[in-house]
Amino acid sequence: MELRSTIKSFFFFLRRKKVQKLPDEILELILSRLPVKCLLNLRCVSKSWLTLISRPKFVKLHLKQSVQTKINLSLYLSCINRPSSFYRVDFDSLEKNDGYLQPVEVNYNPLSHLDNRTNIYGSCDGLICISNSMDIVLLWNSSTRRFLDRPSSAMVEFARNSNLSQYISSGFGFDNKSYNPLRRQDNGTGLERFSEGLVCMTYTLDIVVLWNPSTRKSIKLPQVSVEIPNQSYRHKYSTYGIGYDETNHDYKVVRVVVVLGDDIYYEVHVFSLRLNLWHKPKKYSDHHPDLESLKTVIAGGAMHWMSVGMDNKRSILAFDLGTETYRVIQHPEYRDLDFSSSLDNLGGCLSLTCHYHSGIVDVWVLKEYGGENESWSRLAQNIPITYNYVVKSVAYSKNGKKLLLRKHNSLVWYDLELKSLENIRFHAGENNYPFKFEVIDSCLESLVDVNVAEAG
Amino acid sequence: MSSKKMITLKSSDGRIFEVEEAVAQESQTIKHMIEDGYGNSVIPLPNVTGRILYKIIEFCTKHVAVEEDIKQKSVEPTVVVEDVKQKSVEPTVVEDVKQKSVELPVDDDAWDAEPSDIDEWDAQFIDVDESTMFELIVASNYLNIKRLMDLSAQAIADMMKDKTVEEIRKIFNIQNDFTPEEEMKIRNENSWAYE
Repeated sequence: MELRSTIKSFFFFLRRKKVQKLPDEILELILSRLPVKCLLNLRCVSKSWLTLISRPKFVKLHLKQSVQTKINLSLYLSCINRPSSFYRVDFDSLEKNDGYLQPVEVNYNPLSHLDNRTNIYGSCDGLICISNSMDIVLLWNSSTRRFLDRPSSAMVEFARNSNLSQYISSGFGFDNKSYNPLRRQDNGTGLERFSEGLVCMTYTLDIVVLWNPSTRKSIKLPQVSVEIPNQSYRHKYSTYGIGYDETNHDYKVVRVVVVLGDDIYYEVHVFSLRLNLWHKPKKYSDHHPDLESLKTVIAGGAMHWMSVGMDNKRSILAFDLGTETYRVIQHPEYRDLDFSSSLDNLGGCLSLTCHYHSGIVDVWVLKEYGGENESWSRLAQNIPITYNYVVKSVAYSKNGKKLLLRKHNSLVWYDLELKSLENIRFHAGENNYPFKFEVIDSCLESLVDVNVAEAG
Repeated sequence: MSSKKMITLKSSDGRIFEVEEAVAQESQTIKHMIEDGYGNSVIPLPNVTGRILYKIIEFCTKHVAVEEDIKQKSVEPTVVVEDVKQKSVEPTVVEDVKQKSVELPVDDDAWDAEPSDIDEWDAQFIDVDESTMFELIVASNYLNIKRLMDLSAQAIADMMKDKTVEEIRKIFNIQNDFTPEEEMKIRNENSWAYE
């Protein structure tokens, strides 16, 4: 048996002309053009190939190639009818836009087992930041000043069915040792007391995950708590953004949490992938994030969000990921003050999509970021979209000639040269409901590792 | 005819090629040699065989012509041995008189091809066997001709996409130095990718 296969291989070799062994630098040139799935396969070709494909230098090269050629650029979206699931559409089909598009369900979504809606908070270098929430019930023993780890199912049921939820803020973490929920009571209502001094609370805990859909690896971020000062609270809003810190060669997730009570209180947290730790940078004094458009956008190595000052005027705040300092970015010249806006990332640049009450949309892009000549340039103007829709810019087409806009739950192409709109239609989803999505983001392919513990 | 400066190149197997300076300068390596003052003598290229250098010159000539917007019916490096095929603006291959006759590419149809699109021309140019593709990428890397490096890298990548791991090993002449257990472990890390 062995002799036969040896002879067979021998003749195979004879037939095929032997090629010279390629040096690593040339191998890198070739392999960086392959899709991720292929490269993951090729890891077992030989030890030297495994080393080559896994090392950070190659990951960067492959990423650069991915950014340049936009091969395998995809749109990830969620569907209203299946809130925790994700669907995927590749940009080639999106741009061709002939007929009805069929998004494919992504069945390796790490948060699909949860009940609530999975949110997408942006992508960076092939990593997507997603979150979902989990309802948990906690019992606080006011005498021992400790949480009970395992409430009985009866208590859990009680908590869920009571009207506690209107008083309980959603989603802040807790520190077993110092957290005292009794501080958060306003006048004794809102927390139900059981016997033995037990207090029952329901929380909605944010589960945040960094996910590389190309390698199908993900990492759950550690819980982070919010120190709310002594006041009552009603609602909590949080948003996340992911970006790359050039200075420290690190991927960072920025979390902005706003708690509404008697006052508006907020916190900023920054997660470092390299250190696997959250920390709290300084806040921008006398400002708080604008609740109407709570969203962070990465561009130019900084995270941006709309901020409101003491004078109630809105500013565009930039938080540099490397230096962790803030600066205010000038507004573009708006037509009038009757509009809603959305900060987005277009082709790596900060963009502002302004939707005026009069029914037109302007899209601005910030050029020469951080330089002396930093200024807003109008990419598109007078796009006719009636005001009932929320409009956001999603991405450029591969050739840069069209702009993908999100109009509430649907997508539309705006041709920058022809100045025309083109609807994108999706096949009906399950039960023939029209496919309407909630959240959406574009993401390219990369080998970037979510378990990076060293310099990228 | 034109009074363009000609550069003389010598392949590893001793074949001499005379090309226009603009064509030679498509190679950053040769360009630097010219800038360093070696343009007036024969430039030896010990890492490139005559057969491959011939193809590379064909590529560079075509691209220079396209850039200069000169319309050419075909790109044919002329071989000056005894019969001289002259066309208006063309690179000349000056055969070393002591050498044997020049081998022309096997596929003569390549010379008659008239793709209107340079991408089509490139696609036809790179439509060669694996061994030649490998030689082209190594040579274009040594000569630092970015466009050809990209073209050949992409062609090899495209060829690789639907091959199995075993086939890749054979094509690239690689020995599997994993134990079966080690290989299984790696496959299991991304088992979905092997479906």
